[in-house]
Amino acid sequence: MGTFTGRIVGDWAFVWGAYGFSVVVLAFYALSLFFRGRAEARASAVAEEAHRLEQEAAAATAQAMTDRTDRSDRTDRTDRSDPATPAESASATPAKAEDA
Amino acid sequence: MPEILSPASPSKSRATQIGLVLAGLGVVLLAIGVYLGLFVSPPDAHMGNVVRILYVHVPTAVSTLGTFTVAFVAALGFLWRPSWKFDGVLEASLEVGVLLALMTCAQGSIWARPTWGVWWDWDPRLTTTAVMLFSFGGVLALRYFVDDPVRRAMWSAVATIVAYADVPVVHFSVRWWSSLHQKQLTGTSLPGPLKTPLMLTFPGMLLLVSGFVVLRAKLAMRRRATELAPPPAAEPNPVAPTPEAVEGGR
Repeated sequence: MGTFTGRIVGDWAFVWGAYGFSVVVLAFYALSLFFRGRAEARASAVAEEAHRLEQEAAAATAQAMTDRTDRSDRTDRTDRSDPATPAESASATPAKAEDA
Repeated sequence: MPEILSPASPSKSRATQIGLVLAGLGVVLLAIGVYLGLFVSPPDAHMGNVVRILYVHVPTAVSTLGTFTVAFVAALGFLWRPSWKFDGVLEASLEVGVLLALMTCAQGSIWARPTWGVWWDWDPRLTTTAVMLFSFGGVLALRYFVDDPVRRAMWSAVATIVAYADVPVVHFSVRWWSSLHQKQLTGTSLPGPLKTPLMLTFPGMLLLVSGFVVLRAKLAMRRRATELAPPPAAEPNPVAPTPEAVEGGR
């Protein structure tokens, strides 16, 4: 029969358990923040790049449509032989030749 | 319904630096405090070495309440003046707070086993802490279930305010009810040698947690910016000709 001193014995295991658990949880959270941050940075970089390419493609398409519209406009006017101004007439001629 | 908010700037490296500095300082203070607490500080006359859990349990518990208070303030801020910054801080403090609440319960449980003889007891302090953990865990879960960012921010702000009602109850539970859990520490509760490690681990944990919140808030805001970015095809192109111009050209 042991004597009761009122003092807790065999207590280091609990101390290490509490500290170990805390360190592991905090370390895992720090790591998760690091990896999530890196993944998010990569994802937003990919999204930005896709967005930029999409905008470039849209701009190129718009430019092509504008060119086509101008060209058909000039072709119409040349066909009608009714240029609005001599300058337009002059600029329309190469276009017509080019079309031909 | 709040006004639709402009997405936050995705790149704020300054926030990352601040977060890393805070967390780094916190780790240094914690390391010194833990060393003193484990190897230099004397054991308690009654609790023996188990008293050393105090140096990590008390800072964690106080940081939990502090983090949820930050979440509460961010929720109020969002409802008062909607901004993605408030929502980012809310999300960050909710996540970090839930993690800390879980740690507090686990550390307390480990401390309770040798001192009370049980891992868990439905004591007012422990019960209200468990309610707090599950309430804020529920708010965090709510955020993952709602896809619409504006609704998510609104609903979680309201839910956070409701859940926060338990935080003062947790704090005052040991005073209001005759509890198995001891009362809060005061400046004179601890003798000098036992107080020194706590003076280091306490600000250390607060700094580390602040760093975590700053870094997590930055992550949340970056996510929100990606989430709120309009799809490229739907974005009006200033260079593109109008339909009328195209029609007129034909």
